[in-house]
Amino acid sequence: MDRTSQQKDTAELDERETHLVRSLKAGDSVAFEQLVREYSGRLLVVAIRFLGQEQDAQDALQDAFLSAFKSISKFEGNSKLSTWLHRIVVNASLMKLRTRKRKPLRPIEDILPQFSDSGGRTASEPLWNVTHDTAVQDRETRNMVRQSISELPDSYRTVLLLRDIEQISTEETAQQMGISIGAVKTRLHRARQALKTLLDPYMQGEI
Amino acid sequence: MSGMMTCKELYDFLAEFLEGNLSEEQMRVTKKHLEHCPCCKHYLDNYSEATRLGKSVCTGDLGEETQVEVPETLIQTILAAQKSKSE
Repeated sequence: MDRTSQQKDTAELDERETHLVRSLKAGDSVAFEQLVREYSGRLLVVAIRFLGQEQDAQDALQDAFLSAFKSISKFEGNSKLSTWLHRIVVNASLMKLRTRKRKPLRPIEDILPQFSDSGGRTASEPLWNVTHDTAVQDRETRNMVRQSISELPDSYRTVLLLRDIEQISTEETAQQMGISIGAVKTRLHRARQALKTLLDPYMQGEI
Repeated sequence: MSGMMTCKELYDFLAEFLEGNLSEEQMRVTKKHLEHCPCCKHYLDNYSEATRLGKSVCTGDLGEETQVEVPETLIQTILAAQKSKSE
């Protein structure tokens, strides 16, 4: 596609979005249905990433759409509609995480590196025999990484998602989760360590 | 931090090291440890790759993997909830 065609496509998309937002602000139920059908698929992925369980993720998605429709009058078009909705789903997922019954946590210590009394490692550390590009291009590896993230304990997975994936600042993450800045840093580091541990067997070719 | 560093201490400082948030002396001691400890160097590389992979698979442009099929029942539930709210 040449540059002019791309610019034309972008302009058409912008125009379509502007029209959709205008209809939503007018309370148009057809526009709401269009919004739900168009954005549900990608937003449900985000909710599942935070909540794991399909039912909780579906509840968060519903809450997010109702919240979006309620506050559409405040949408000023400073960001894309998809970005605005994405943020609302993240917030709805965090709310759901706060209120849902806690599952028994797998202790994070089980998936952190172990040390001897003298501070040395108790296991060897082979270098992963894979380049980043090769790993990212492999569907099985991508699924393995997502699966491993989903296996992290809630409070660690949430910090990893907010900081590394959503690119939310340490300060805001601390505020959203009601924990200290130091706790965010510690949890993020441990979450990354645990993710690495969970990926080890696969990356080292053991499974 | 003393002039010598154990592997355990290095692991504790790893995130700060990667972000360049350590003092000059802490950076020097950490780099020195990494030069002489292949185990920790490999750990650092694997840890960095795990972090990078996590970001790539969740934020990259991966076509159909960035969407899931949404059950029609869920769509209808959301539409019905909105309708009952606006009535």
